[in-house]
Amino acid sequence: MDDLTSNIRILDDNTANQIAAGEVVERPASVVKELVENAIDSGAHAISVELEDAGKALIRVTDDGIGMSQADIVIALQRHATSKIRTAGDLFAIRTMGFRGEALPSIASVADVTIVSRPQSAPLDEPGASVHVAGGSVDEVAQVGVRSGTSITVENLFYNVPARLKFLKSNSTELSHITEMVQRFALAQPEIAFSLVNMGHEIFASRGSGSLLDACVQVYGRDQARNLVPMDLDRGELRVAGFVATPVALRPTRTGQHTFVNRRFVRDRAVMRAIDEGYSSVQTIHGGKHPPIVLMIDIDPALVDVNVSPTKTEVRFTRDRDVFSAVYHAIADALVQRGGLVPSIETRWTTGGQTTPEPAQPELMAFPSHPPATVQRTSSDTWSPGPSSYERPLRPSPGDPAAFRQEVQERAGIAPAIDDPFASEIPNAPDPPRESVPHRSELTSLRVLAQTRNMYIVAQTEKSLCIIDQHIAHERVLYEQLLKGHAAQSLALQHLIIPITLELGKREAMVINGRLDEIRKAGFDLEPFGGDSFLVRSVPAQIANKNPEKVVREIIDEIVEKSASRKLLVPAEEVLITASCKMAVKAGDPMTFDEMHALVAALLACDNPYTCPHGRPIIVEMSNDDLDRKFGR
Amino acid sequence: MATKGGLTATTPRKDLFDGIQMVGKAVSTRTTLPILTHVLIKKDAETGKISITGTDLNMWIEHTLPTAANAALGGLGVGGAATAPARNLTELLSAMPEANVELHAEGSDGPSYALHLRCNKANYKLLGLAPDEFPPVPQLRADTTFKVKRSDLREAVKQTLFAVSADESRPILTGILLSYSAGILRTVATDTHRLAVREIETIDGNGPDTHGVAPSSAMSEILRMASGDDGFVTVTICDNQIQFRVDDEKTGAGTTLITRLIEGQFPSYERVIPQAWDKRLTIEREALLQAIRRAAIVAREGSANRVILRSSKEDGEDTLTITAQSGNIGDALEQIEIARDADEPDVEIAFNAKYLIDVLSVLDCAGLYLELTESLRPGVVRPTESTDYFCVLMPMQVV
Repeated sequence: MDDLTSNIRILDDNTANQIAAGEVVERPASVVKELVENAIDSGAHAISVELEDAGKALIRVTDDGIGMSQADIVIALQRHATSKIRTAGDLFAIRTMGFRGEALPSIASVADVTIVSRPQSAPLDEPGASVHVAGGSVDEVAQVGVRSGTSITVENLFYNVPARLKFLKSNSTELSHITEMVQRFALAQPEIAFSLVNMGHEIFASRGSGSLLDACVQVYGRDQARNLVPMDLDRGELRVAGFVATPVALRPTRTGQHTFVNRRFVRDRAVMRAIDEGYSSVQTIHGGKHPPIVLMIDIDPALVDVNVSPTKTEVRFTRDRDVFSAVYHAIADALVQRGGLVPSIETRWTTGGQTTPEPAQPELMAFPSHPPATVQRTSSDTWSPGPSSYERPLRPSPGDPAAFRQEVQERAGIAPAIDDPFASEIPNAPDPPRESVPHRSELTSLRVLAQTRNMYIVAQTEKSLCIIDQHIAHERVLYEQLLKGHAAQSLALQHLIIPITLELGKREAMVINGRLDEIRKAGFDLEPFGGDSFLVRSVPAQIANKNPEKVVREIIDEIVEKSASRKLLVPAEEVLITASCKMAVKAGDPMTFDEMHALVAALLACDNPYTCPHGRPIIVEMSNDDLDRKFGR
Repeated sequence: MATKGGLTATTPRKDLFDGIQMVGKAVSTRTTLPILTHVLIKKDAETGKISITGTDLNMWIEHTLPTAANAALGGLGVGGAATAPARNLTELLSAMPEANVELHAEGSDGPSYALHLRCNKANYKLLGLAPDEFPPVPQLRADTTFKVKRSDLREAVKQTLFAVSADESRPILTGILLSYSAGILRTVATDTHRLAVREIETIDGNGPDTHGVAPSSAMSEILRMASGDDGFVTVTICDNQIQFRVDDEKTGAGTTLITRLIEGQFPSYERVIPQAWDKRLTIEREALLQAIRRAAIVAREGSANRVILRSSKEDGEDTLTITAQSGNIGDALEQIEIARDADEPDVEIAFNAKYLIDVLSVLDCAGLYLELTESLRPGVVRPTESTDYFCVLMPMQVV
């Protein structure tokens, strides 16, 4: 300030780097991200991340990529040094992870960085280089004997930025950020083996087999991965692939959602909206739950701008409507067509030979263990002559992911070679997949056999025995009729000679008043009749034989109850769901054969005959093969 | 003189079998009170007549066998009673040869009762229960009593019974309202989608105007009970019960049905009967019925039985066009000739095909009027040749 003529100055390099670091390097996870991206761009097959104190004390990222010579290292430490683009024009065809050339110098400006590298192309006897940078300036260069590849160690992060240091969260929080980051890389790059170690303990490891499903198993765990169905939609320059969870695996948060554009993790509102809408087009999501999903969007790099922010988690699509539509349909198709919505009855069987019982071990391969989704083991005693028969003679050992993978693929009814878009190899030509989910074509042969406990319709297809929950089957039928009827303007109302008078409470009246239109769309014509009274002038023709007053009462009660837990205004769709639920035949209602036939026929005509609007399965099935095996045939 | 629990009687199998069948509908199928699954067979000591009674405590039917049967009985002056399980007795009698059946039951003060049946060389012993535990037939205070022609009552019941509600949650609508006023008996039924009203004349009226709602199950028995064209049915209505009695004077046979009335207030149906119409279509009943029946095949799936009726002038002819649509099956289009006033505007209205079929099939007139105002206002079906019947149908609407 003493020299008035030169108030404005060019920042020195180190200050500029520190400012850039403020954008790029927020926390240990950002360091990991930048370093791993560089490692990926170097063509590595295995990348390991070692941490101490969740990265606060030390982060070391080691790869087996092309490596750098000593000269390369020194240049790399300069700002905007990058091997990935050469001109601004390249920005529009970015296929690599990093490109801004900011990462390394930024990190080096806020930490002690040691880079050890040896180029792959170097002769065997040539040593690698070790460069140590402190506070942004190179203070030590040495020759070391190392394997080819690069290892970058970042120590004492933010030692010279006390404000940042102060705002770092607890070790567990920082570690979870890093774990999530590495897992995303593992999903995006299934052909690279990742490992994450903190304080000598392995936190996460992926095998780098090249299979996205493998990576999913490692990220989600076996239980969750079982609920994934593959999706794949190819529209030329735009391809959407990956895996999406069936309704049994919905989560309360979006933590299980990983979306990638050209293998770069992005968090994009439009994409999330497409996921939500695509999913709920098939399956109403209740109470703000979210399906775990791994979504890979492959798109011509010219059609997407990833250079929106330094962290590169935001993107702009040139044709965002196309992307939306592709994501929407990829999800909807996967759920409906790949039969991801029908659980099958899981049975253990024995061929009669002596098998080693492992009773204490939790079922490895059981399909979803949610009570409504499957016949549980406790209740499945009747299916089996003895407890030991539950054991599969050839059950895959827990540590054998390949066997598991095959299982999952069989279960999902897919051939890995065709449906796994990221498979870089086909492991030993797997057996033809066994159909274990009734597909629509199979369902057309559905024949009603009986009703059991006045709750379930027992039916058979050519390949399996199916058990259909009569209430939710009917609920689904009505729901689709209401939705479509309302879309096609063909919902029939029966007018009443003598209107039903409803005397509601104040609160009920308020809630209902706000939803008269939707209730009308469900077929109940309610007319305010002064005070808190309403006249029901007409009812849906479909329930003409039921007690309409009771049905409308139940609908109102449930709508009011739902609005109590949320806002005063219930979603319009919720009104239809409630209405169809209340109008549907109940569990415990006896049904005649004709009624069951009609219901099954109507169910088959549904867009989604597999789950109710609330996500419960409508059909569970036991394949003829399983049944035959039970009887030792 | 009657021996307690004892009975001796002889009767042609057919008479006994018919009697058992007549009361069978009143016999309870629930087994909480075992005696209700039995019928009571009783011989009157003074007249020597045999009667059979069944009840479920809501409805009683008592059938007296023809005198021809009674004449064959063993000595007058000896009365008695026995019970037998209705189902087994019915099955046995239906399989017995056509001959006289001898009934015999020992009076017993012990724990067991039995009815012996003999028919030719078939001998059976059916275990019974104590006859004096059988619920007695209620004696009605004859508040209001009148007679109606059998055929009239049958028709009145038939033409309203279809409109009775099946919804048990509003019990009052599950019965037929019988309203006696100024010598006219009105039968009314509604399930809130349609309303059927029939009026018939009565004779020998006695007592004040009154009304009551009789359960549909009892009313459908009336159809069987009041068979034949000749003769009358005597109706007695009191506070909570109604009695129908038919007597065959020639044979001496007779049947009495008593049922509880359904409690509650029947809706004030008069208000909803349209007082005026501005479009009246005259239609041949049989042609309309056939057309609707066919269209209903299409309408019943996916469109909740909805058929659309449209009046218009086609090629100079007044025509009723009936259409139905189903997304799964296809389309129906029927045209029938109608008559209407020259200046009447065209009208389009949708009805549940089943409701139309119901009312058209209980009429036996050749022509009918369909009286309409607007698409969302009720329509009325009336026979052209009489004014004692109409049925109000609520339209369907599409939203």
